[in-house]
Amino acid sequence: MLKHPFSSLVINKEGTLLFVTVQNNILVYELQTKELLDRWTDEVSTDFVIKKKFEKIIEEAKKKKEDSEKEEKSAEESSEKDSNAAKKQKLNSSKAKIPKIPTPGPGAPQIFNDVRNLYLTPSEKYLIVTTNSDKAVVIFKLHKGEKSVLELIKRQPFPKRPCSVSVSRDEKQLVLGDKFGDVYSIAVESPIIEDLGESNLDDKDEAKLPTPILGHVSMLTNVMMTVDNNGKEKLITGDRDEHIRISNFPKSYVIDKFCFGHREFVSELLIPEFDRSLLISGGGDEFVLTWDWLHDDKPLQKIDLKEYVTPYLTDSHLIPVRWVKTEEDKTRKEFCVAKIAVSEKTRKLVVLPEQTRILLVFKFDEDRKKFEFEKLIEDDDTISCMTVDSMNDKVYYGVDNKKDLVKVLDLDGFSVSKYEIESPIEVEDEKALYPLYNIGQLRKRSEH
Amino acid sequence: MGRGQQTPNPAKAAKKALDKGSHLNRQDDSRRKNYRQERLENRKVLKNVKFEDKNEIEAIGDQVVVVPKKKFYRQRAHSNPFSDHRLDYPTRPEDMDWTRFFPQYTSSDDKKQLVKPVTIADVGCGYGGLLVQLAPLFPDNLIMGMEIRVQVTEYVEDRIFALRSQNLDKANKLYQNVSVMRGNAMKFLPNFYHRAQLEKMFFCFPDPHFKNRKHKARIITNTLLSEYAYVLKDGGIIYTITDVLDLHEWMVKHLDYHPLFERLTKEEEAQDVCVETMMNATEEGQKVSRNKGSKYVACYRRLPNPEL
Ligand SMILES: C[S@@+](CC[C@H](N)C(=O)[O-])C[C@H]1O[C@@H](n2cnc3c(N)ncnc32)[C@H](O)[C@@H]1O
Repeated sequence: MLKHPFSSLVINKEGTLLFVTVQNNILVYELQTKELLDRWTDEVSTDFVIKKKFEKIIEEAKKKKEDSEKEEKSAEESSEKDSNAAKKQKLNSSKAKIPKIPTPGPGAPQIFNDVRNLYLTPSEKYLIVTTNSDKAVVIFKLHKGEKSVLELIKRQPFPKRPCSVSVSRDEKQLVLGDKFGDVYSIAVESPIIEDLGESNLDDKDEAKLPTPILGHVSMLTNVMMTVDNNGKEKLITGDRDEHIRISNFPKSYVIDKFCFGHREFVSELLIPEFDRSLLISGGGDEFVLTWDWLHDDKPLQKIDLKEYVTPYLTDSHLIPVRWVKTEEDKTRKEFCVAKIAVSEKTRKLVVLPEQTRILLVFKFDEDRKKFEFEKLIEDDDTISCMTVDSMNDKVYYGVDNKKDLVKVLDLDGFSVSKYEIESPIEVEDEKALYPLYNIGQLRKRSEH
Repeated sequence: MGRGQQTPNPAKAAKKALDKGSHLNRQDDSRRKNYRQERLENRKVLKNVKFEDKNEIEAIGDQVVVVPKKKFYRQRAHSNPFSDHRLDYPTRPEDMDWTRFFPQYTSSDDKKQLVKPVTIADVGCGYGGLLVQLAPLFPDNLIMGMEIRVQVTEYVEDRIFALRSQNLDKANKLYQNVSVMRGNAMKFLPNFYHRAQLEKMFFCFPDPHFKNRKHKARIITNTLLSEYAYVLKDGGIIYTITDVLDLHEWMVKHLDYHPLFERLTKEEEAQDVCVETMMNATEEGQKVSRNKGSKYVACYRRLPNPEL
């Protein structure tokens, strides 16, 4: 059996709990003892939405058929003479086919019911994830120090896949960005809005949707609530069209500014605690940008990654065959930033380039307000995910070798050690693995 | 686009089918292509020509001064605003080279800058009828059309170049203040325009997107209005006109709901020369007139941002 590599990690501020997503599961470990404290599995299957949609259609078709059969019978009984009409009827009802739930053809891309967007709210009162199965936001109340840590309080499906979540400062409002660029705000603890999920919304049924508080005409890759230096809430949104937008909150119809500088999609946004005026962003570009987001819409620093990353790129970074147009394209490799994180006390920035076996560490120079390269950490295996334990100044990262799951990098001295942890999520063979590297797919490609 | 006509008109459908047939006609196709290719070559020269360089224009020959023929620029009626087109747009407004579009207004100090910014935008300008009427009406403003369909944009470009060269001899040198670019206004307006740069934005006969599911593709929505408010200066005006009542009501509903917009009164509308102009200037507007359709106007003023 193979141990399924982890797809994301988060550690709480105190450095006591490790949250993991793997396939359709959330696992919670006690960080020091490595004891598995809790587990939640998304039981909803990937064809849930389509099944539910079709159940409705089938139901209606069956009813129709029954009705017309009944009519037909009565028509036959009442008028034997008018045999023509009866024949016609018969033809109709026997023709009426009951639709079947469609099964995807052999070429269809597989859909996975993985859990995504592991998000711990700033007060650590809630843990929030999104599902791919029914396109829901799932909210758990956290019970630290108790045996069962996760208490499911709400599962709210949406018509369009939620791509990123955040909460208002008082943690009463959940803010969520979807695949089609709309941002919604719903109360964290209110009862769910019935029939909002995709399977229930048909063409005529827009009314159930709350009004979006803001929108891009592009997939939202990141929404982040924050506070400016006057204590006013701001909402920062990143999209697949290189935009970083800063809006007021709750008056989100007022756009404060755009931070222009990315040339590819934006997927990572981060404001470190150690300097709240600093915004760090990354995505499809071969660089990370920092911004003095309160005062300026131009980047403060462009941190080039290319020279460090290029030697570690593999065939997996070649551009998809479908988009190979020139001779040069055949050997061209691209990479993107899968994750950025900071260690608060030592003010270090850690960057994981997607599907590589390296981590890049940069150190913050306070006087110049700039990051400087400090260290390149090289593992034997591809790194699937990463998070920082600021309390202990360590990086925990997932390794993709199907046996070790996690390793720890000490940011003070840069020693690496295995973090031996038991995971119940095992698979028979490679084919059963869920994809771990999805971010590069956000890259735009077009012929027109 | 069939605006105002949800049920297809059989005569029209037949004509459409015919048109389609001719589209498949190779000879026709290559003729169109050649025509456009020739125009393209001319455009390359013309793009950077100011009226001092009259000789260069004359070197191209007579053809350039002829207003282009629309039939050579046919294109599918719709372009999906959500898809990833291969578009040209600057990373930030400062990176935009406007001198390509308004060579006449290039600053003498900085060859990459204009003497003044664009302040009027025609969003989804189609074949450019409004642009060419606004140009002489607002000689002191720079006016920019944006259109998502490539060939339609090229038509407008050629139309403007033709008009410019026809007017080189005249004292007032018309049409130097109007231009067009291909772009997706629903995604990239803030890449082109600074905050509060625009004084007027026109939305004339926008695509109606009748189906509910497609309402998000409409060019006026609550969320897009925040972006338009961002590029408009306080007091700036959004002009809308359509012959589709349902779309008109939709636009009014969303503009009314938006806290940064306030509707112009009927009197204000009556006094605004733009309102009258947009009634009949555009190709769509003229089509509606021919079909004796109704036209619905709604104009809104950008209000100042509220206190935080
Ligand atoms: C029905 S036409 C009207 C054209 C012109 N305003 C008129 O009145 O004749 C709408 C135009 O908007 C363009 N359009 C639609 N979406 C657009 C977008 N996102 N950005 C730029 N143009 C767009 C279409 O290609 C089309 O030419």
